[in-house]
Amino acid sequence: MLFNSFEYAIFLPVVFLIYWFVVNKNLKLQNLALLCASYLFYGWWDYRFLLLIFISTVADYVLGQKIEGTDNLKLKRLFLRLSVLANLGLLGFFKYYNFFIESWINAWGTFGVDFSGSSTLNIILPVGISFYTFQTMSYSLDIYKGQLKPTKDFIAFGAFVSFFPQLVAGPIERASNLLPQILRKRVFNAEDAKDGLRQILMGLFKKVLVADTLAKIVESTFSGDESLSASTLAVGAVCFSFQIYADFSGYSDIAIGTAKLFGVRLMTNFRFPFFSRSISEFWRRWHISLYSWLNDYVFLPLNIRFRFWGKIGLLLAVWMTFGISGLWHGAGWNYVLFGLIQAAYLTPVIFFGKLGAISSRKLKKSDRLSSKGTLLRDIFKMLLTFILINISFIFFRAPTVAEGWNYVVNLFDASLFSPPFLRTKRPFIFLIILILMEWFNRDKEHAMEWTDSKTPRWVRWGIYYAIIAMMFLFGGETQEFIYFQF
Amino acid sequence: MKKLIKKLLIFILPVLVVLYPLDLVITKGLKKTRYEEFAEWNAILNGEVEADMVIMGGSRAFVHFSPEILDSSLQLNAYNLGMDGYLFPMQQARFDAYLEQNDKPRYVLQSVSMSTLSRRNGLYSREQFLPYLDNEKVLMATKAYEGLSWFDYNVPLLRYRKQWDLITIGATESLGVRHISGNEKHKGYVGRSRSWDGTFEKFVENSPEGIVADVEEEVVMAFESYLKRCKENDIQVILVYTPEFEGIQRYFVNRAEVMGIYQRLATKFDLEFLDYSADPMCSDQTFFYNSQHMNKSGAEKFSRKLAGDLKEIVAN
Repeated sequence: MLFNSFEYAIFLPVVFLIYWFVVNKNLKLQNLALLCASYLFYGWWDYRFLLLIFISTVADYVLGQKIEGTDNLKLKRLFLRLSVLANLGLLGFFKYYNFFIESWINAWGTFGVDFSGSSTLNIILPVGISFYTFQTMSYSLDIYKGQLKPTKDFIAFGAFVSFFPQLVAGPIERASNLLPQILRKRVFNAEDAKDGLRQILMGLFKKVLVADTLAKIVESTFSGDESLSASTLAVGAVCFSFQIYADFSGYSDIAIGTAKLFGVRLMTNFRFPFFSRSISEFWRRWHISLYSWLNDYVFLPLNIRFRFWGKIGLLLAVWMTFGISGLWHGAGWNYVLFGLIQAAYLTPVIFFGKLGAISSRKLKKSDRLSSKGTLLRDIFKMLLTFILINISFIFFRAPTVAEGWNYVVNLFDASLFSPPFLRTKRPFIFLIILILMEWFNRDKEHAMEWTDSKTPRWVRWGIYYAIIAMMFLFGGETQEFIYFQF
Repeated sequence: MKKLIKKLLIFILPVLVVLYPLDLVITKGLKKTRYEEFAEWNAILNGEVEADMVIMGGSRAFVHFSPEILDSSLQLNAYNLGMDGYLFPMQQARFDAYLEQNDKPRYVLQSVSMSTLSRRNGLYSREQFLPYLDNEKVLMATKAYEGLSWFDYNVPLLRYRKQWDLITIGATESLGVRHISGNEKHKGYVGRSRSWDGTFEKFVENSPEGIVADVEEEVVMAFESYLKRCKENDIQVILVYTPEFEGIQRYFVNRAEVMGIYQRLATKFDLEFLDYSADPMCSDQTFFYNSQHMNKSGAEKFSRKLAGDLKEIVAN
């Protein structure tokens, strides 16, 4: 079920009413309702893949208790490995099997060895598998590290794994944040719910008016049409950066907003990343739930393991973590390259600066955007960071590394200074509105948080009506959220 | 919580209140307009066509048969009901809608092609149907395709979402502003002044082995019952296979099978089958803009030739 669909517009209020008015007296029933709603939400795509979520849930539920139940460190480690194996096994088979087989054949093919007999399978990628497997893994990992006690409430655990607002495209929740909220009685908070509704509207604005309208421009510039000028390609690349941002952060906004309606607080996933003044700051603002996960469970353990090698060890940890992050996004070398480009950008920071983490759930003090004195310098740094990130996103969007490389090469042409060819300019109006909304609310959780009770109601409602009308009149052709494919 | 729900309902109420009247205004305007596809639908559904001869088919009908040439040569009133992008099931729905509001024609020129006897899954150019979802025939026809949801059929105004152009055309037509087709469509026909577009060469490159034309048993049966119905109602159907670029012909691997179906049906219902697939025009690329469609000069030359061939049939 898509967030931007009519089905969801009916599903959400129905679940809301059942949750708060029918089963609100009994926590177990409330969690059961949440679990059923989540399975219905996911099964709307393909009910067969519910089995995978169920397997992942059962495996981590059982292994979590086994890890806690033994004092034997070797056994603890064994159970943890089983949990990781089960989750990565599902992920590896459904997402990476064909990729590795094809890469194997190609690699040997370059040495003249024919492995073309190795066959690929016709595997459908289950929606959101990368998200929920990482989420359930965090449960076992946190129990192993002693940061979390396992739950014996299977229904609650199932609701944690499959919590529908964030099941398909995150934020990837930590068990230590979400599970305790599922296990205790939720109290309805009207202010949170109102803010949730505003955040949902903001998410829809990003998705329907920005991401979906930019999609057409992006499709045409990434179509491989060699007659396009460098300036058109450059605009296309910029549009893609904003498309993926509006698409993905729009999803996160709707997910977080929806969770607020159910009395649950999800972690922030984006903090206005295009206002970052450095690459390291960007990774504290972009897809925070994934990169802080990778930071805690991949980067830090690697960094500890390589600590005797000094800066080279740190370098290795950064490159490996970003390589994995690229591969997490998709089974393709272009995604790996996307990750490695980030590592390359951070390499000077390793040698000439201070890099303690690749991401963090909290911003640093220095990340706060100043409005005094340094604004011009900040904007210059933001533009520079944006250009660097933008180049890496070309490889993210291009179907192959070679096509991405061609795209970048074609940017360096005299036609870069010619006017770009654009079939429509309307998406840029929405983009400018988005950037302005975000800029003026950059110290808030989301860009529509400002419409609180201090603003007159007619202004607030006027804005809400205007957004709804714009979505109705000018929304782009409905597209799936980009991150569903991951 | 009740306060919040109350507020939400108050917020939604004005939206719900305007849905129906807005829908009414836009739909009313679109049902009057002469703009693009709506011109034909409005003429058909308002019973303004009343033709002696109707041309039925898909895009090959709509760009190949000039009613003006047929009118002047045959001294009758011809009208082109060809639908761009649609195969027989939707063509039949349009014909049924036509019969409901107009007198039955004396003749039907049924354009047939390699793809006539199959169906597509999704609605093509879905916006052309939006004002007419209250018409039983259109409703049933569109429901057989993907593209419109339950909400589009049942919630006022929703079907016009993201259709700024349609909304403005509908609303302004209601206020008396006239919108005329941007293209040169006349009596349902469009002569396209285009030159060869190279899509055939790309097709050959991608499918050097050729393709199998879909033939769906269910559609063949529907086609057969349509021919039977026409015969019972004294509507003379003439099957016409309009010229197609000869280079493409060998790429339909089951071409003989499809042509055999048309031959069989023509014999069964005692119909004329005018097959122009071996006409000398087929070997002249300058008459085509792609392998399936003739440009304006080709279409009008063909229409004159067809009119000549029809003279005898019509006279009898």
